[in-house]
Amino acid sequence: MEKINIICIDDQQEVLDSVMRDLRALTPLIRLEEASGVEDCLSLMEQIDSDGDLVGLVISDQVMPGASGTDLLAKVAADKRFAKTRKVLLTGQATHADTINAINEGHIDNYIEKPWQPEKLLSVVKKLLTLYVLDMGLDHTEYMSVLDQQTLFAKLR
Amino acid sequence: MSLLPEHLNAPLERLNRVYFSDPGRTTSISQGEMLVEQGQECHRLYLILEGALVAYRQAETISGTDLPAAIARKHEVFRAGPGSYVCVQAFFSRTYHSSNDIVAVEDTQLAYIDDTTPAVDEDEHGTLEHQFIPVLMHELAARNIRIFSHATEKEEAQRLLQRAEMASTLAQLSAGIAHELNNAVGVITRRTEFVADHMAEFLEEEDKLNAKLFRFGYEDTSFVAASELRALARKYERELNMPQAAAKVLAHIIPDTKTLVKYGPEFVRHVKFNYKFWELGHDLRDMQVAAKHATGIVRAVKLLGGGNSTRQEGVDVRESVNDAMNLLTNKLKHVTVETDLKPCPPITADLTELVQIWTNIINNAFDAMQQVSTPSPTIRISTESFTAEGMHLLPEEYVRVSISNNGPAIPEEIHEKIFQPNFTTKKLGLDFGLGLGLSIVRRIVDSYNGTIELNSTDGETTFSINLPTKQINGKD
Repeated sequence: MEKINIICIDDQQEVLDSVMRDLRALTPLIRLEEASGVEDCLSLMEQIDSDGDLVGLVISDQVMPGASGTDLLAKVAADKRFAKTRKVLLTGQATHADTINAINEGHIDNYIEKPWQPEKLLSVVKKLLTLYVLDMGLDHTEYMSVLDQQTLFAKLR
Repeated sequence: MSLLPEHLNAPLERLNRVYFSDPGRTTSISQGEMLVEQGQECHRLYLILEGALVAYRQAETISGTDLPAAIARKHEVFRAGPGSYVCVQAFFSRTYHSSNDIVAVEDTQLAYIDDTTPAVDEDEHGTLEHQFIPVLMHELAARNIRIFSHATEKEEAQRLLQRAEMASTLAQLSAGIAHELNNAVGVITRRTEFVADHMAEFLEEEDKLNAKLFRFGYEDTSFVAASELRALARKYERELNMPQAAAKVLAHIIPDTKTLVKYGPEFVRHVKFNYKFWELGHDLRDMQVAAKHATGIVRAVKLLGGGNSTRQEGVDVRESVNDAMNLLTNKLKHVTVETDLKPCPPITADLTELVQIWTNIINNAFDAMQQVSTPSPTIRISTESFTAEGMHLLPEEYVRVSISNNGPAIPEEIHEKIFQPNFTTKKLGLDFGLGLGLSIVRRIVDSYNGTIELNSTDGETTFSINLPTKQINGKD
């Protein structure tokens, strides 16, 4: 069975570690991957795709050296292979203009501010993951323990 | 006044010729001499032929108080040179009393008319008053210009004052915040250390391998690129059949297959089930790193806030450069920073001031590159020392800090201007620093008897600051 990956991108390893820890409840059903920047993330996505696996969710920081989170999410949004991939911006310092761009260009599904509440992060991720699983027409019964029951129920009704 | 436009000066030509060319009605005073005193009777209207005069006036009482004018300060009212008229108001208002002290700035020649001088060609040109209307206009215009320039100066002074106040408020505010944060961060730093020590001790008694894992996590200094680590973890995950998180920990501890053999299968098996002890150690390590980072920022903010630090011997400029970079961490994320900080002899300096110099220059470099979206923006900072002829023509040791960027050139014609207060090329004026940028830099560098070199071409702009290692203050 193909694996669903969640990728977190942040240039600060400590932050990355924290996000990964907060989402660990989703493993081993879901794979958690981390990337240190935009380029790293894109090559990781290539690899996942060529392995025949899926990218369910991309959670990106905004301010990073080189390209910004919005740039990354816009690229992901424009890539047909990842059309259904859900996108989250996790940031503490996006400007007003960044935020507008993230919505208009990056088509983000959610915006989480740093510092984040672990429960809030997990619940947002579960909701988006549920939508992804349903959108992709995957067998949701395989993923019950990591899906948001309410979202699932509302969609299946 | 020479400032006046030509059309006001032209009509005066006939008057000057007709009224002020009688050698019998000329006088001269030498430098420093008083032509007329404030309040003194004066029946003459003067034209300055040569030299210059200055007029002072004393307030009747000091404004806002009842203090007598005797102790009030004298204010300069105007300065006048050849072609200007003096005592215009006293003459035409027929009060015949001067409202100013008028003193010669240099040896001065004057021509005059007095209240007995008759009108010339009255039939053709009208009464004396009528004929002198151009002079009155001239005087009026001169006063207008004077008042305007005084008003502008005053406004400018007020603006500078306001800025200084803002700066000092900011300084107080940042010092306050820095102090509070310092205490909080201090608690985190110390307690993390305690927790780590206790934890290590506790584990040592319970399970040596767990203690080892914990220690590895706590002391982890491996720096491997995220992609490499990921690949290695993936390999371990598949080949050793372990959970992703455990494989990642193993990848941190064991960088290659050879080392894997050295540690042996038992250790690997242990990691598979107990990797969380490594994570625990690593968490504590991260907390310390974060606290240390926070301490660095607080320190730098405190330095900028000023406080009462003074110049001390034995300051390492590299430390001040690091402080500045700490302060600007957020901005510097967007650029490549290359540093080449060679060891330098210690100098006598105030860290605060040094940090201010670097932050201002780095900040400007960043803003300049951002304004024109310079591709792959890079800031290079280097330090070195050299010997050169200093004050008193003796060889002196200097340290040089060079800060370069690959942004747009600074046009040659503004190389001087950029160091003046209130000169800016920034459209959006929310500077990081105290808002006076390079003028602060120059003031500080001057006070060290240092020099600033600026070389700027498109794609390479370098500010080099040279500071003597010893401060000559007369004591030695």
